[in-house]
Amino acid sequence: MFYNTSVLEEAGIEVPKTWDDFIAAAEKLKAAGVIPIGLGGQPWQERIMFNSVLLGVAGREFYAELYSTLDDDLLKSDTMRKVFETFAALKPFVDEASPGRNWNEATNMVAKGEAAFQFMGDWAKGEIIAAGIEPGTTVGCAFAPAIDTAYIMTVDAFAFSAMDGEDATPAQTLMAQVMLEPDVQIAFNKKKGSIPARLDVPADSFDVCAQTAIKTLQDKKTHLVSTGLFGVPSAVSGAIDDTISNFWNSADMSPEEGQAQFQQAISYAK
Amino acid sequence: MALIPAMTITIVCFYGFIIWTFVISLTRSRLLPVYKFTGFEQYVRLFANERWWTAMQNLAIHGFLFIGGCVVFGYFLAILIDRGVKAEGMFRTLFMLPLSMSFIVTGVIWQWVMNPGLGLQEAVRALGWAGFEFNWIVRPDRSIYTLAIAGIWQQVGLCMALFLAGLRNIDPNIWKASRVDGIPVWRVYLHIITPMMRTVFFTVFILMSAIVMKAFDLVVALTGGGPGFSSDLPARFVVDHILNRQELGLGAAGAFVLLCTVIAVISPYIYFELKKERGGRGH
Repeated sequence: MFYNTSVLEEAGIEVPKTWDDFIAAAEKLKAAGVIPIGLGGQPWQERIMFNSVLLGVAGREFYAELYSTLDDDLLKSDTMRKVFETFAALKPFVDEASPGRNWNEATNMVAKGEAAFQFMGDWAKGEIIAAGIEPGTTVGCAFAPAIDTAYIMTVDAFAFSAMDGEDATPAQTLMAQVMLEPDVQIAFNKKKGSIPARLDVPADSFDVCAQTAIKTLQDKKTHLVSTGLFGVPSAVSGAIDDTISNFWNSADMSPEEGQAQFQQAISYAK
Repeated sequence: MALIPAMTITIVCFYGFIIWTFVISLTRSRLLPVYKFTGFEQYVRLFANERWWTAMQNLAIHGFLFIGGCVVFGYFLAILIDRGVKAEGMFRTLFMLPLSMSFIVTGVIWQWVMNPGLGLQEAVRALGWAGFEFNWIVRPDRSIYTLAIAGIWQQVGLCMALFLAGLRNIDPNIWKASRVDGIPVWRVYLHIITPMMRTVFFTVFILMSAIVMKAFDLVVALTGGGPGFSSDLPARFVVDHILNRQELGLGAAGAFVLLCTVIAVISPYIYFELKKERGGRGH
């Protein structure tokens, strides 16, 4: 979660730690004429926000179990309904022009102070740095409101194809080795705005946001994966995107209907 | 003999692949074709999918508005030009210009125009009309109409050109005779010229129908199917499921249902038109 520090200060609110706090803060911000959530209204971004709510309301164990088992009982549970209710309560806090917006435009809204919060991966830091802002200053970062700490990871992977020729394999091995060197990891991830793929890299030269993330990841219990890329078959993750996006954009759909459609779509896709 | 290569290509690439698509739709193929048959299970899944029904409904709305709009506006523009305007060449070029752009470019342009934060709505409000609203692209109940607007804007020039060619083919004597009889111009167009243009209407209808059925790029560029999946079309549903979601069987089922729907809707019209023409030639 990224936020604009000065906007929050002006409205006199702290960084919210629970979703109830967040909704109260968002109401204040809206009354003050700020867009509470800078959202890029594309399915994958809506999913990021939904997963933040899921994790924040239901907790990391529920999150991990739900997406690894896709179990009907969990999907139909009261906890899940609470998730949908909270998610639905966020609908009034985005601006009209949100549908279809790109993520970096939303990041810029936060950087400029037009919007207060954005739920986005740490790649948003690239935009923030490009806007001349050091992450952790004007634009701050925090974990989205949650009952326990966890980190939903998105991982970039490199794949090497099998090649003919004696030199090829050693060259590929060397490339992989170089990429995972601590120095390379530090230099690369500072530019990209992400965190190293290995846990033993010294964190002190990174910005505050990355330091928090690296520190959090030392505890293995915090490791969760993004549903968009890993963990579930792409048919299921597509169905998840469809229903979440449909629910988010249908003003008159109740949380119960949203939950029922979510459960149904997953059971048809799995 | 000379037709053999062409026929082979048609049979293999067209009918062959239709059959293959149908066969795939009976399997549970995900990423790649596997031939484990599961009967009509993919169709059951397809018909239980709300996004599919939204897409089919959108196809009907979009088809009706887009074809209707192209025919009406195209014919109207052609008549205006045919009445003899100054600088006819300039107007013709002007109306044809959007056609030189791809649907992707069209989609991007209209996305900006219709964006409530930067486009038309904001511009009119900046002029002083604060209550002006044009936010269809972000409203799930209206987003499908934006597709028709952008589509008509792009294709109306082509329809105009076809209608204009038809109007130029009308025997000038008909105009002379109607003037002698003192028939008002609008009645000549409505009751005499329009029935004579039947084949042109037919051509335009078929051309525009083909564009509607395969409409994919416009949705991708303009709305991305959103908000939610409110402006999705079947072609996008099919491509999305086959290529992005590893649901080859489901996508194939969608493609086949789409084909059947198209045949069911279009073929009666084609049949009657062709029959009439053949009958007409007998006189």
